[in-house]
Amino acid sequence: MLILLPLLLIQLNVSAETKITHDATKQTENHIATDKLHFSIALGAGVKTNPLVGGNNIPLFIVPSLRFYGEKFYFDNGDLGYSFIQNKQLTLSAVSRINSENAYFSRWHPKNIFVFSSSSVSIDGNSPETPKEININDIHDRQWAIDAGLQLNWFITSVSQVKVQLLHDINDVYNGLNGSVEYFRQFSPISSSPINVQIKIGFDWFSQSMVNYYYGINNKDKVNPTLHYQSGSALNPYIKLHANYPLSKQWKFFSAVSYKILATNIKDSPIVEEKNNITAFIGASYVF
Amino acid sequence: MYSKAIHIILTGYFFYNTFSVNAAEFKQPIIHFSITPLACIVKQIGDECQLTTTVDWQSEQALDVCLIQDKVALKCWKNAISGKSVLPVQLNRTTTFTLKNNKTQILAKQLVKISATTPKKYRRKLRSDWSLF
Repeated sequence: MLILLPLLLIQLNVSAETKITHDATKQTENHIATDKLHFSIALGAGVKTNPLVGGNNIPLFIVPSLRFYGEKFYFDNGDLGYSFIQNKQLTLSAVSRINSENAYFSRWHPKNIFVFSSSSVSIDGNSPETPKEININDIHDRQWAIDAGLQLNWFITSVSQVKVQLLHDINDVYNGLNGSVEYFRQFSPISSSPINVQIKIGFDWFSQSMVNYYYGINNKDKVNPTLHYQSGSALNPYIKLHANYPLSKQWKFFSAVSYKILATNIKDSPIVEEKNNITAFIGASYVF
Repeated sequence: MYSKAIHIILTGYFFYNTFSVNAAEFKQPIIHFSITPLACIVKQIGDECQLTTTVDWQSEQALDVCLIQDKVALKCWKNAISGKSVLPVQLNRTTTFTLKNNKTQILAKQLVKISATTPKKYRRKLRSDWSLF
């Protein structure tokens, strides 16, 4: 049901009149006031599945959002960037951030830090499958990687854009690249309602060295050598849907769901037992 | 500095309705209190605005009163039933001016607003809302 909600919303027709009516609003919503701290909190219930063998899913109850945009500098939910080319249609930025892939290997990643329960949460309510020979507790600790690189935002319209990122780790963790391409579109499916829907379709790309660092198995790991695993680069396509409905000036009903298909080179790893990665959340957001 | 050059003094006579409400709500001898101009426009919020204001008040009875800005007395009158004065004031935010008696009771008040000619700056978000999900 949770997953279906945004899907149901996107099924509704978007008339041309609706687009025109709401474009002005969206232009504001896709812009952000500079030189001001923007802080929001999402409160609710959700989960981010963990594809690792023996890896606990990540419950989501409180998720903060912190943003600050200067004229060129910006901080946006973990992305630290500097936009050196900005015009009406394109922005090119240098960006740095913590690589989120390690979230699956540690409960104490910034993405997980708001976990209040140590119990496993299963997205489908079923017990986890019988583990294979490897548990993530038996493999060597993956390190935090800090990525830095370039990000290009192409603003197609006031309510849509394409974002392209290419990053390299700068602290010699996996010595490789990762990137992403994402199409974003925002719309109001019902002209008479302030319901707002965002859809994102794209893919993540991990270089071979990044795949092997996080999902490869070698002599550093305390596992049977027959289970050693080395692979190639990985392309993970995904779709994300967000829907919100303003309840007051500061409160919004909010739901989100994302579905990512893991690349064969990742899901074939002995430490991976899921073929996909799902995040779902329903609740409310509050703007301070 | 440039705010001096660009600030636009609004005569504000059309704001007198605001004054009427403020004076009436205190149920005291002040029957008229006004400060003009009622607004100052600066280039950006935070810029200092320097105004030459005209303060005018009338009472039904003789009073000892002071005009207060941010707890500072700008001008006091002793045993007067009216007062009128031209005062230089400096503002860097919207400020309420009050007329207080010697018991520091507020007899009347008036807001002087600061507005900016430069609109708040916006830029496109480079990550979508709630991109952590």
